[in-house]
Amino acid sequence: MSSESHDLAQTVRRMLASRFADTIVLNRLGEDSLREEVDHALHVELGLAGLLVSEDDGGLGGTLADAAAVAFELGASCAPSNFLTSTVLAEPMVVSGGGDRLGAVGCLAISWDLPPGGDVPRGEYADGQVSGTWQSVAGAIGADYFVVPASSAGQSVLVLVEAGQDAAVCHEVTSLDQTRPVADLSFDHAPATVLVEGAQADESLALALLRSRAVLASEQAGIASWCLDTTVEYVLQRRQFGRQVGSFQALKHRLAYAWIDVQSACTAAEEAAESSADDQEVLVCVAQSACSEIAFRVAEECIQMHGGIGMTWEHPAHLRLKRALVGVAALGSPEHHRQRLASLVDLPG
Amino acid sequence: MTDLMSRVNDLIASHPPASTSRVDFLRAQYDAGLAWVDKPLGRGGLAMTAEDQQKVDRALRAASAPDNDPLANAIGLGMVAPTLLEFGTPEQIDRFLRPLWTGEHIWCQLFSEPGAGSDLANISTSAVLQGDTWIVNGQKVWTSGAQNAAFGILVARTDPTAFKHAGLTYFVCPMQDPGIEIRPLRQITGEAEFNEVFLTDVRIPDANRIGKVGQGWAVANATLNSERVHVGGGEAARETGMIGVVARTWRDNPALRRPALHDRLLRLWVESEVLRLVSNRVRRRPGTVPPGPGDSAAKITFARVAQQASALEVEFLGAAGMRYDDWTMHRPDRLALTGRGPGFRYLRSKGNSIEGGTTEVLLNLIAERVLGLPPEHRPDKGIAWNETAR
Repeated sequence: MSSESHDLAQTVRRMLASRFADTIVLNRLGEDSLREEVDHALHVELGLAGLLVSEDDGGLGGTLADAAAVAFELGASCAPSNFLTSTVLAEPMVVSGGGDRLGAVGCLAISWDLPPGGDVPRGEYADGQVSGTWQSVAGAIGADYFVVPASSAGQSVLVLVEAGQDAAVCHEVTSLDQTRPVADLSFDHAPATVLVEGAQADESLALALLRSRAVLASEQAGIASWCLDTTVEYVLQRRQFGRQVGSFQALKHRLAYAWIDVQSACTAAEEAAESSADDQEVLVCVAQSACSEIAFRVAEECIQMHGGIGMTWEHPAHLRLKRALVGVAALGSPEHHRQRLASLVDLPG
Repeated sequence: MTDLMSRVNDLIASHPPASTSRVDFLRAQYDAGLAWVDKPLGRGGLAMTAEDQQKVDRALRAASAPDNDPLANAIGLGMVAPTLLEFGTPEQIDRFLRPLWTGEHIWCQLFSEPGAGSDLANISTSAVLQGDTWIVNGQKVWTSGAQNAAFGILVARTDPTAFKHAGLTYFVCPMQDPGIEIRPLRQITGEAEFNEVFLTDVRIPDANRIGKVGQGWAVANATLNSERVHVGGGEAARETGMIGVVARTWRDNPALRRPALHDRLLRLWVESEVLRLVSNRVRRRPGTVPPGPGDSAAKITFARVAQQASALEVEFLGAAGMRYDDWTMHRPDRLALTGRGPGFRYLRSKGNSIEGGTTEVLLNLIAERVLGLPPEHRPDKGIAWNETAR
């Protein structure tokens, strides 16, 4: 990791520690207002709006590694935020597509389980209006605008739809992951403006998704890292049978494996974010396959080794477990990524 | 950098590979500091980085220069050399290091004993000083390549009344001593990569002692931590090792492919790739950062992935996987983890999680040294070695 990315991560970590003391704050404020507070701190106070937008377009011109470093901290804290879905995924598409929406909250209209490499489900666009429905869209709640993949007379387009109109319904549902809730979108002839069309639209979408998968892997490494640190701290403090429970070899070996997992996840995610363009898709598939499974595995170990306290609403571990479980399928499951990998590295089924 | 390449060119010009004997070329390469450029000046290196060595190796390969056949001396290069550099006297380094690197001297390791495997510090081979010569008696085991070795690194007990870790001393043992008897030890693969070594009144001059008397445990740990084998010197390419072999078998046999095995293969491919990325980071780390318990992680994963991948290959091959190439007892002179047939590869890989520290011991190491979890109960702690139950 470069020293700039490292410094950025430190700053974000300090901000999150001061603003977001886990479940206590979440339970008091609710996800909505807490997310607004975290995102305001992130984008306005720390000035990270436009992180991945070039300086020519008025952004910060940051690297994907910078975004990955921020996402690692957001994953560790499990703070609700639209950083991944807006700053990393939607915003660069809008700005490179000529829309001037820097700093507003954007959301790409895709189901959050969209697998890599296949066709992206599209709305229908005609005469300045777009229609379509999408289930379980992350980052839709609180979005100012939507970027919508659509077909226009058989050709790909990306169109922009303003949120808050009657023709663009965002229906909140009860989400398994409480800190990244999903919503259903239903657009019925919603007024839309074309951002980009044809092959350029496909490329722009594919690149944004690829980069977001790299950043998601880093977020998952952050979840795993927090779960391990918190569990080690707990097993050193908790005593049963007259000894620290962390002195039992049954737990020591599992925690050592968890440490190996965390090191692997951090390395895979960093390499995916830092790799050159020609090798990036392979490394992103590797990172997505490895990191989502590791985050879930270590989060499960965290709950188990915390015993009863890990099952309580008050303890913050469950937020990570929920994020990690939903994250396994997010932007494509590990199996989807391995299937994609198979075609990239010539290992056909 | 240009300076480095001009050194390489000077070496090739002064010792044309086509007309220079292999040993003469390798000696000249060492003297020019181009053996391992990350090592110190005068020690075959130029105090540069391991990455620079890759450039040197590429240029030398392009000039058809010989290499030092690193696989034939894996213990010497990977374990003895770093230990000598850390604990050897200047005289010892001058004497041992160059012929070690050129392969003129093959090295073996005399550490484990029948009663001291994972609990290495429990060794009972004794060394008693008579004048300026140590008289050594005992039995060592799992000694690869002893029959070809000029020297062995030996840990022996020099003070049985001290605590077990404190009474040890580290030596360079001449393997031609008449008191040394080497017996091959046949393994589940059918071959005898290992030996038992019996030491009866073996004479080792005090000049061959590495480190202080009683410092053997610290020196031995430097050796064990360096077990990141030096083979190849540079970063590994994608699909190096067992996964590369299995991936080739998969590509060559489309008719045998089935979906459940496909996902298992891809999962192992991903794990191998992550392991490669992690290991390359370790290799890229400056030489000033000592290897530590954290490096054990790569070894644990390496062993598991090698076992699972090679077992998958046997299963994938079906009828062909039911055959074995050869059960004849051979005594191989080099490490061949990915050679021969799938059955051999699998059986050999079972040793990966045992040799050089069992997976279980390494997990304890990570848990205790990296994560700071409480140590295992050790009933022999704080007791003189000769008073402990064995």
